[in-house]
Amino acid sequence: MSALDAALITSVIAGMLRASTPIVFAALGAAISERSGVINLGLEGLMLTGACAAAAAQLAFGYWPLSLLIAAAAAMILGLVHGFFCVYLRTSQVVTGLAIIFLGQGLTAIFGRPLVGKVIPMDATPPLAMLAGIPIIGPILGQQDLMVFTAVALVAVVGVLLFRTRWGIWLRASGESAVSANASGLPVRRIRLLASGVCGAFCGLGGAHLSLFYAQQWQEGMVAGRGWVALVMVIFGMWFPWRILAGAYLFGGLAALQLNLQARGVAAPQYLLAMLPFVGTLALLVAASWWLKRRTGWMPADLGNPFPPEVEGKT
Amino acid sequence: MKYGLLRIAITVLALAMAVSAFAAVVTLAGENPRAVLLTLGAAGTSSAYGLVETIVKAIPILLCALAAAIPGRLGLVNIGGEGQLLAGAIGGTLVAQVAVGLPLVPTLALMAFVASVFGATWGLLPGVLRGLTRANEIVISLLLNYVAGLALLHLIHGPWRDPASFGWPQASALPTAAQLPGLGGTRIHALIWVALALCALLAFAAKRTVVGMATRVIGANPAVGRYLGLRVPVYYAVAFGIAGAIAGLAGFGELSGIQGRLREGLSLGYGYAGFFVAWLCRNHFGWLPVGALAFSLVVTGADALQVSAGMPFATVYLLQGLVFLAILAVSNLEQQILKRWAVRDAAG
Repeated sequence: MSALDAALITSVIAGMLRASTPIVFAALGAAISERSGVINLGLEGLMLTGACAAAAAQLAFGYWPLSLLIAAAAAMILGLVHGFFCVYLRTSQVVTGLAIIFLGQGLTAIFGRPLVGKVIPMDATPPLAMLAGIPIIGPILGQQDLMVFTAVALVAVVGVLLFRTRWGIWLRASGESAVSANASGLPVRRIRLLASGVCGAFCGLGGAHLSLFYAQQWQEGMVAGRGWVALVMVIFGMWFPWRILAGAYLFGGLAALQLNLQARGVAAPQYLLAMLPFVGTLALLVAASWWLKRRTGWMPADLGNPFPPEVEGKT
Repeated sequence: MKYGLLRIAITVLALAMAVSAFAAVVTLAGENPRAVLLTLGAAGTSSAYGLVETIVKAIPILLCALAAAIPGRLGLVNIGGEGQLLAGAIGGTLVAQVAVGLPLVPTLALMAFVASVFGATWGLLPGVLRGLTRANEIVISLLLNYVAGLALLHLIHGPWRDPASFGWPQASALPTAAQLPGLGGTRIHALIWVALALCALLAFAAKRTVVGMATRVIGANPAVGRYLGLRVPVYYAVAFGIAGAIAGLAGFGELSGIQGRLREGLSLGYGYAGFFVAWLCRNHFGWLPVGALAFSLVVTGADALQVSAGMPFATVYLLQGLVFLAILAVSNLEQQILKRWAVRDAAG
C-alpha cells in the first residue's frame, strides 16, 4: 500500500466520523421517538431549527456549550409541538411530520436571513489533539471535535437506557402495545410526548453540529436531506442504537469518499458523485424493508397508532 | 347542509389561525406583517400581469397536485412531485437537443411524451418498491427529489452547459420549434387545458368507474382490497407511474413554455406545493383547480416579496407549515363536534 492510499483511507475514515455525527444524533432521537410509538418525519425541519438556532446563539454569545443548549431547546419545542399534535390531538403522524418540515424550513429561512454569509467563530479545541503526532490514529481522531465522540457515547447511553433500565421498558412498552402499557398503569401519552421532545432535542444537536463544527456557517436548507437519511438509518438499524451507528457510518463513509475523490480531482463529475450518499441510502432502505417485510417483531408494533386506539369507545 | 357549513366554518377558522400565527412570526422577524400579508394576497390579483402570473404558476401546481392526489387516493403519499417534474424537464431537454429540425407540433408532442416517460420512470421507482418491498414511498420519493436535483445540476454544469452563457450554469436556449407558444400573447400555455381535462377525467374515473371504486377500497383498507382479489402492488405502481407522468408533463411545461431552457430554479417548489394542495383538497380532483389557483396566488405573492422586501421564498413554506398544523388541529375539533352531534341525534 502506497503512502497515498494510506492517506486517502485515513482521510476518508476521519471524514466519515465527521459526516456521520449529525445523522447519529438525529437517528438516535428518531429511534427513541419511534420506540415510544411516534413516527416523526420532520427530522429535517428539527435539524434545520437546531442548526439555525446554534448559529444565531454562537454569533450572539460566542460560548458554544450555550449554543448547543439553545439549539437543543429550540428544536425540542418543535419536537414537542409534533408530539402534542400526534398524541393529544390524534393527528396523522405522517402529515404532522411533513408540516414540521415546512415549518422548520420557513422559520429558519426567515430568522436565519441575518446569519447568511457570516463565519461562525468557534474556539472549541479538539479533545484528542495530543494524539495528532501518532500515525494513522492521529489524522483520524486528532482533529475530531467533541460531538463526534459524544455521538458514539450517546449510542451506548441510549442503548443502555432503552434496554437495561425501567424507563426503557416503559418507553418500549408504549410503542409495542399502548393498550397493555396503559393497562399496567403507564402514562402512555405523556411518555410519547416526552419521547417526541427528546427526539427534537437530539435532532437539534445534530443540526448544531452541522452549522457549528462541520460547516461553521449558516446556509438556508443546509441540512440537505440528512434528516431523511437519519430516518432511513433508524429503519436500517431496526431501532437498535448500535446498528443505527453502523448505518450512519455507511452514509458518512460514502459522503467522505465522495468529498475525497473530488478533492483529488477524480474525473467523475462532482454532482454525480454527490448522488452517491443518497443512492446508497436508498439502497439501504430498500434492502432493509425487503428484509423486514416477512419478519415481525422488529418494528415497534404500535408504531404510528394513536392512543387510545378508538375515541368512539368513550362516548 | 349542516355538515357542509361546519366544514367551511372550521376551515375558515383554521386559515385565520394560520394567518395570525404567520403574522406573529413575521412581526418577530422584524417585518411589517400588514405589508407582507398584503403583498402575499394582492400581488397576484391587483394587476393584469399579476393575474396572468397567478394562472401561469397554477398550471404546474395543479399538475403536481394531480400527481400527489392519485397515489393519495390509494392511501400513499407522493412527496416526489418535485423530482418527477425535474426528470420530465430533463427528458424534454433531451428531445430538444436530439430532434433538431423537426417542425413545432411534432417536436412539442415528442418532448411532452418523453418528459412524461421520464417523470413516470421517476415516479415508478417509489411505487414499485413500495409494492414489492414495502419500503416507505414517502422517504424514497423524497430522496429521489435530491437525486433528480443533482442530476439537473450535473447536466447544466457539465454536458449541457451553454457555451454562450459566459460560465453561467444553464443549458442552451431551446430552439423556437421546441418552445410552447403562449395563449393570446401571454405566458399562459396550452397545458392549462390539459391539466383541467385531466382533472375532469380523473374526477369522473374516481366516481364512476370500477378502477375508481377499487382505488377507494384500497385507500380505505388495503387488506380488504387484497381479499377482494385486487392486485394492490399493481395499483400502487400504476398510480405512481401516472402521477410521475403528470408531474413530468409539468416539467415539460415549465421548460418549454416558461423558462425556455433547462436551468436551476426551474421549479419554485411546485412539487411540494402540489402535495400541499392535494392534501388540502383531501385528494378530491374536482377541488384541485381551486386549491391550485389559491395557492398559486400565495406563490406569486412570495415571488413579489422576494423582490420588494428581500424575504426568502421559503416564507411560503412557513405559511404552508402553519396552515397544515392549523387544519390538523381543527380537524380534531371537527371530529369532536360531529361526535357530539351524533350522540345528540341518537338521543333525541
